[in-house]
Amino acid sequence: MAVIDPIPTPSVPLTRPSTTVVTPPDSASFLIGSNDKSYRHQYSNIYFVRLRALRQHVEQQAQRKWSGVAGNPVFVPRVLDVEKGKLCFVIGTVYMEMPLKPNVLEDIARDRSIPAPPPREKYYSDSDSVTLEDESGRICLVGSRVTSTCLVTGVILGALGIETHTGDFEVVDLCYPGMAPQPTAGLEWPSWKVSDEIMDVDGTAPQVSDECIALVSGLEIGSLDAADGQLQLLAEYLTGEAGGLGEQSQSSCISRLIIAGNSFAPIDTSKGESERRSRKYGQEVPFSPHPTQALSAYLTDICRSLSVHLLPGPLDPAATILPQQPIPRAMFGGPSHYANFSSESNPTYINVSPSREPPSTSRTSQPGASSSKANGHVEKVDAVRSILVHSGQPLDDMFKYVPTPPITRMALAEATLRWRHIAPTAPDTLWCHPYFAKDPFVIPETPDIYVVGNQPAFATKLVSDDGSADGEEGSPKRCRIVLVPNFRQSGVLVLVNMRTLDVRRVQFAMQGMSAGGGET
Amino acid sequence: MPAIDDFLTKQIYIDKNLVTFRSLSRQFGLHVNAAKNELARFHSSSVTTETRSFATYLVSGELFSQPRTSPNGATQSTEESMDVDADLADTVGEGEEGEEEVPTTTMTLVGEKDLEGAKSKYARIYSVHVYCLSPSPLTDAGLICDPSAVVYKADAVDAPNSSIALGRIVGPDVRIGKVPPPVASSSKAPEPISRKPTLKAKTEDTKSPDQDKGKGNTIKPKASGKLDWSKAKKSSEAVKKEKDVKVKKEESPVRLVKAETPLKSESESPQDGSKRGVKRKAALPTASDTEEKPKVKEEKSKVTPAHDLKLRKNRILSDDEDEDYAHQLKLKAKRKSKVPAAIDAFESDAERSLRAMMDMDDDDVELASKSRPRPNPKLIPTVPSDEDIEMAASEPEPVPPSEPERDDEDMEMGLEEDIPKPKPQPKKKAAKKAWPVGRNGLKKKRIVRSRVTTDAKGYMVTENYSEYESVDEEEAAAEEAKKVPKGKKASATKPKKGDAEERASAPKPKPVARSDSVKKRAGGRPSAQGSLKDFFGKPKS
Repeated sequence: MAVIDPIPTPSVPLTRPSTTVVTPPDSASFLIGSNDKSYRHQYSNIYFVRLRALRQHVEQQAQRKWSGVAGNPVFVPRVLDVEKGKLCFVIGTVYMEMPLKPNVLEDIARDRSIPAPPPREKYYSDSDSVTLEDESGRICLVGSRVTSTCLVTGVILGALGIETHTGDFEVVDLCYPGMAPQPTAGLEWPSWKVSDEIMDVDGTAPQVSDECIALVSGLEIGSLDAADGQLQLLAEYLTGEAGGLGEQSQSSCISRLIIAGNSFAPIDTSKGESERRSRKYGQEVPFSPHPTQALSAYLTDICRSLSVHLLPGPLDPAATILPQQPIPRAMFGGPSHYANFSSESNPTYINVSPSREPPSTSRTSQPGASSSKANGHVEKVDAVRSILVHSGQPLDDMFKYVPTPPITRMALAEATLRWRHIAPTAPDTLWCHPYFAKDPFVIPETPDIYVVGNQPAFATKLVSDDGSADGEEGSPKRCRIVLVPNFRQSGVLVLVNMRTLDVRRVQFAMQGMSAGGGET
Repeated sequence: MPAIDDFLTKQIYIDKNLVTFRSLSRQFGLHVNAAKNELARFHSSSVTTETRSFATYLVSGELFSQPRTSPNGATQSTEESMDVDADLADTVGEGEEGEEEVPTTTMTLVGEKDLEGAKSKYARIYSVHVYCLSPSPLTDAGLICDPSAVVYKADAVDAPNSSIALGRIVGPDVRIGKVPPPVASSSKAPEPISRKPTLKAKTEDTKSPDQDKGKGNTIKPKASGKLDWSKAKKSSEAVKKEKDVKVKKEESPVRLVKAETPLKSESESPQDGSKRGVKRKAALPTASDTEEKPKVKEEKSKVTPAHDLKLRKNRILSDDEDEDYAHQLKLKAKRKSKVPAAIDAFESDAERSLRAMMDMDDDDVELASKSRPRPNPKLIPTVPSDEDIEMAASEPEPVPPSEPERDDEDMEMGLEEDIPKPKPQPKKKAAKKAWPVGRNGLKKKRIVRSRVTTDAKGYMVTENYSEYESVDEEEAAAEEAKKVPKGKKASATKPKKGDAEERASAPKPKPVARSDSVKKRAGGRPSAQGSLKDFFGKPKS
């Protein structure tokens, strides 16, 4: 019989740090405004706007990078004006000519009697060619520099090279817009609990004392083999009830939970047909609200403890096209009554700043008190951490463009920061809203934390740019990229320390019992 | 503790239920850590007896780091220990170059027979505790979810404070209410914990919404059209809030502070002006032919309409439950003590705006509303509720500053007791209601419809209900034309037809109450149209 030590009860209830959500600037909003709510527009506008927005940055970078190059390259503003045999550089949008890419015309011409081939894992093939286009036309990029680089359709870049006699552009070097400026980089996030007596009591506690945000994706509630046990453990961990004092104090550092998509399991459509009975007598309802209720009860439990941001994902009942708009709050019965539950658009910026407040036990009994207190500490609110979250569709789509062994998802995610564009493939193979006057996927400011949900595996990397390479925005930039795995399969919760941007994983697992999901 | 032992014995041995530390803690109001210890104690004491319970443990700590040979292939050792949960994720997730190794806390749920094996995989164990007790060893991890229903229920019933005492860690920004809008200027109440515009001075944030609101109030009378809309929106929000409050009450009585703001009372107040003569002139063309259900009326009449500033004080007086009232009082007191300055500011603003409103000329109001284009009411969908209409209508009406109280009382009575204030007619029927007026300034007609619902037993129930529908302008014009030659009431007839028109679902509403039917016939109404009643009534007259 195992003897386990009794767990002491903390004399003072643990408290959480409080954070304030700061509204991101309008330009960083993915909500489709009333004047954008039109599907009339051609998608070409997006390319046009994107090129116009990023061209200047590429040009600056290119001038700096190539001004000293032997041969004295000149900038040719129009792709078609390139002169043969003369070293120059051009700026345009990459278009990947890929035979395996789905093509509307082929789709129309397809023989309907033959079932369509299943969608491909990858569009990539050896016969792909890279072209660069701008308003004037297209030019084919060749050279080993191009083929060895990770490129996808829609990226704005500058290419240095010479036009060959065949009319191709032999590329010597490529240049991207580079990471966007990051005004929040220099701001110091104050630490929350410097030393806590509770943690000394339990000597083995993990020393996480800074404020964290928790990231999870792919809860997939309602699937047949849902990871119910892990979900239960997750909720208990987040509410600070599971584990010993160490885990509880670790949990108390978490101020927010971001659920990056796929909270619902995909609906199994194969068995729906037999239910199509007349509802005249009102008894049979073919649609079961069960997953919604389960998720609602689950989220309510968590919402009683901390703030929750919920993003729609590819499997959720939301529109397919990006940016996915927030799932209506009313769909969630319980959590919708909580002010700290927010339903976000799919790519979304969540800007968080600490609101200092002495941890007091009375704050929850008087909800108004905390607000007024937080108000008193005005001058201390200095740091902002901007978190860019999406549920993974852009990365999944880009991943089809590139050969996998050399190029990983993390490399792609990092590349999007240097491209200053989250979803370059957006109008082409990734469905997106026909914006007319803006391209919301352009990254105006490098986020501090870049979260991609629903990835097959966990990965993280701190990308930094010391700013010496580009003189324009001199300050150093860094961004924590986190690929959040699907929770149902991995049981992983990711904690990101808001001060140091360190990452910690919490793994929920079962042993010796069947648990659904990928774990047993 | 014998009570806990009894409970556990009953649950596990008799009811064959699974008891987790959470459900136990909710059952007895124990701290979760104490509950874990109780489970362990019970388990260790029961192991010797005939019937025994099976414990499931939660082990947390850090696993041994797995040896890794190649980035994409799993090593032999991990293949062998594939049943260890964390291994898969470890090998798959990491090993790509440039990516970091991150510390991982692993929490493993493990049955008692596997406990030692599980522990041996941990390099460092933070804690081990009994997660749950069950009558037989757990085979499916999903079973641990069942007792959570108890927890959800307990937490829903309980005040949030008690769950803190049980060990839940509650963030300071957790509260019930609406998600505050991102921009402070449009926010309804000072809510600094949530979305702020930027980092600009926070001290102003408490005040600024109020001030903005106040400003809005002062401008209101000028641009009547626009502000009517905002008002209308607020009103619907207010109604929503009311509902919210109710829901919240069920969930946790202590928490329902939030949605209540002074604004609510203000937005409710103007809704009772529906019977004013002015209204017809000022009625906004912007809305629609909405139906108004009598239900809405009742709901409205519950709310005590009172003066703008008065109302705040006896806001929910009309609510049924005393407890609720008391609660409101408490809340009010709390709020007062909390933000007196803000309230003061608001009050003064509100007063100022009210005064400005009162000072307004009647002409201004008319001009504003007349200058607006009149859309065809038919073309507009029936989205806004009738309340909006009424509020919009009553909005610009000048209230005599000296006697706002009396005014409102009158209106209230008019609403509820149907005292025919404007033109008392001796012959009128007793039961009379305020007649709703459509957006186009014409009074609505009442029609009877039926709807089919399915009741709890699955039977279809057909139910008749009456509702108001606004009259088209052409129809109304025709009606007027019909009326005028008859020399009956002028077109400015007050809405007071009562149930006489209940039958008049055809587009030919009788302009006058039934009681005057004699006169009417004398006035040249074609007798062929007389109903059965008229037939019987003839000899009498």
